[in-house]
Amino acid sequence: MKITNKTDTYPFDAAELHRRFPADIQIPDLLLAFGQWMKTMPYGSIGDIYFDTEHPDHIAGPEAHRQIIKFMDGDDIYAFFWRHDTVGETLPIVLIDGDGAIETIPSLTAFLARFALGYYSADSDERNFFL
Amino acid sequence: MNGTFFYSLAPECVYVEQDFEDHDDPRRFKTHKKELAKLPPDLRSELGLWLLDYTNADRLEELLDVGPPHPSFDTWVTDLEIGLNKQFNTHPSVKAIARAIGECNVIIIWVGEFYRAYTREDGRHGTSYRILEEADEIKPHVQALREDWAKDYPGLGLWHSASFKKSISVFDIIAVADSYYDNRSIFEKLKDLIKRTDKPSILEKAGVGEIAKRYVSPILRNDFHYDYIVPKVLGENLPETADFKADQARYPRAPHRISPWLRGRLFSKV
Repeated sequence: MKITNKTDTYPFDAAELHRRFPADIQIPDLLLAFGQWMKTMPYGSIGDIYFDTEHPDHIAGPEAHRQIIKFMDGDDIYAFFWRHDTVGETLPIVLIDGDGAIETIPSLTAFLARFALGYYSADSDERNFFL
Repeated sequence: MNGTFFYSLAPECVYVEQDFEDHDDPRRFKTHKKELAKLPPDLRSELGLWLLDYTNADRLEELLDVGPPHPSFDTWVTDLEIGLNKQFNTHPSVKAIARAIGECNVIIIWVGEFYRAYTREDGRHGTSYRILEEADEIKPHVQALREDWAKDYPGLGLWHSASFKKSISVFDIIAVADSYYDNRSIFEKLKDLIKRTDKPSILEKAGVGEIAKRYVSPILRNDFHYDYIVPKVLGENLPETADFKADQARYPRAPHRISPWLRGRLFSKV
């Protein structure tokens, strides 16, 4: 994601996000609201992250395509919803850092709260994603 | 910004300054500071305020563990991996393919009517590819495997390329084990992977022969690919749009699995 000047904001395409979610999973309202909020913020101001829904087949194989739903990428963070069962409505978030370390968080709300509190450093030079 | 900056967003000259320049040089330091001043402010606190407003919570700390308990991702992904490989290795076509290809490294590209099978050779002067002599012999077995896989995983569609490799080395095992993202140590990953390898001699050298004996596979499976067709191998010789459309008609890929480049092909009028 190349930044051309200081006034760029985070990109967010709600239609593309809808298209890239499995049909039997409802996109969390919080995710859509977060995307709309990010769209108003200067790029880089909450971290080098962006919405990304490419197929994360290397995580558990393409056969898990309805259970691993990637929604975010960045310089040192990579996040996806993990549908481990077909019952729960609140999907946990799995984070992977640049070194392959993994953290599982119970919900998107918890993930954003952690992000806001600086659990994940915005300074990729320090590489201290997991503090 | 509390002394931090987004290193990856910094202009190239900052990288250079950081890596190679004398930081005590006042002129360089001044340039460096100017570049850093252009970076965006740290607004994570704004995110916190927005989240509190959205959730009606009083403190962010209250939200840190919101959500139901979840099982272990490591256990889930390991069980999934072992199950997939068991399914693959018990497919009736796999032994036939293994018998035919011998010790070759084989790459298959299959889209619609477009079928190619290459063998890969790693030499001192790089990697080269040539048409596999047994391409026609293995075709019906590969077809059965490919289509059965699509039936077993509805919405995934037919894979467009795959690789098979029968001979394995310790280096291959380590590379495959390392490619799995979970919190198992590399030793645990190796142990799980070795459960499905067929080279006891190699494994016995590593002191894990007992584990190896439990293994049933004649092939170390490399992943099936749904998003690319190894253009480096094919050069100008590529499948037609009609081939992609034919695959989609027979085993439809769900919309969420269709990448932008494939969508361009599938819904073009050509």
